[in-house]
Amino acid sequence: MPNLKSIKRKISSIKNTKQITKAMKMVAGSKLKRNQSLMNEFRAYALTYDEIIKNISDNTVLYSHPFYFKSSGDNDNIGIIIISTDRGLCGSFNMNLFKLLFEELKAKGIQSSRIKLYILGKKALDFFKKGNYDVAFSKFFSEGETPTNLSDLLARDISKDFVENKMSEVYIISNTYISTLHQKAVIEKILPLDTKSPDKNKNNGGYLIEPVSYEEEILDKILKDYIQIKIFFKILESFAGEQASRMNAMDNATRNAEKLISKLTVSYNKARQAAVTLEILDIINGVNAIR
Amino acid sequence: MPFKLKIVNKKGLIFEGEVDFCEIPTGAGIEGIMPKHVNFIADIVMGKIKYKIGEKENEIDAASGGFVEVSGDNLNILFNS
Repeated sequence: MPNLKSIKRKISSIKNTKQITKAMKMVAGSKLKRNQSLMNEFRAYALTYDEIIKNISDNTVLYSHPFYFKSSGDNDNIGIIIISTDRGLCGSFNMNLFKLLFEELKAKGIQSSRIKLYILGKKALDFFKKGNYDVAFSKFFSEGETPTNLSDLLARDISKDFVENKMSEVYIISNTYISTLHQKAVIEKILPLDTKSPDKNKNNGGYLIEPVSYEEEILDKILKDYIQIKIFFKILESFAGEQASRMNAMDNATRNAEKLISKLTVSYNKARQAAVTLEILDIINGVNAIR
Repeated sequence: MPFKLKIVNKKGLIFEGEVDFCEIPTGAGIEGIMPKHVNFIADIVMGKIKYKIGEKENEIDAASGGFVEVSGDNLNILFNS
């Protein structure tokens, strides 16, 4: 017969856990709202920027910006940016990223010695520290840098490494926010920028850039900013996704705790009833013996 | 024949719609954009963005930092704040 006291202790400890997970769910919920509105505010800007870069890529005939070219050397390293989280307890949010990375490497037949990692978030660094990986950049969100600064630093590093031919391609792996219940890890190529073969039917006469004397600087700035904006938006998406994922994880944990509690309560009641029955039997036996 | 204008800053979409004329303060001076403008890129400086729908004129304050892109009959304006 299970010990009454030990069951009771278990129930109360699970109740405590349930309270904690419930509180964490509330916190994640309120953070989610803030991050979500930040993401939605910025979405229009990021999408329009995407569109413009696509337009430029579609009809560039004049320009020879280094962002459009794969390195010609024999250096075929691949840069990978991973946007993870600083904190855990958010379900499979981070694991999905790592899984996707390994799947991609396998599918493309790339050895892990050829990749160069640019890491944002503590969880990814903890994960890749163990293996023998070339980590070129790592920062945590909790170090006090704003996402704007972080994306700026990262974009500058990547552009520099790419232009200096240290790697031939750069990919970004992060979670996209689809809905509160659904986040998906995706991989996207950010460098070199895609070029379309000029379409004869389209207006591919290139661009007039003004002031003409600064045209290369202007294009350079637009393309460099694009990398930064892209990373920045991914960070915002990841932030919103992280809180949503944590909310779901904590919701599940709370529900599981409730299930455990009701199960334990039943076994507690059964044990108590058994004890009571035993005592009654004892008393009746005693009375019978006296008669 | 109007063209499509889209004005966006980092806080969201400010204007999207068809306009007949648009005036933008760029690094090379104030540019007036009419339909069938050549493909065009320029940076934006402090000033006022004006656009006309028919005879109605609207104005938006643009802080510095940003750029404008014309391709075909689309005009996109991005600025920072």
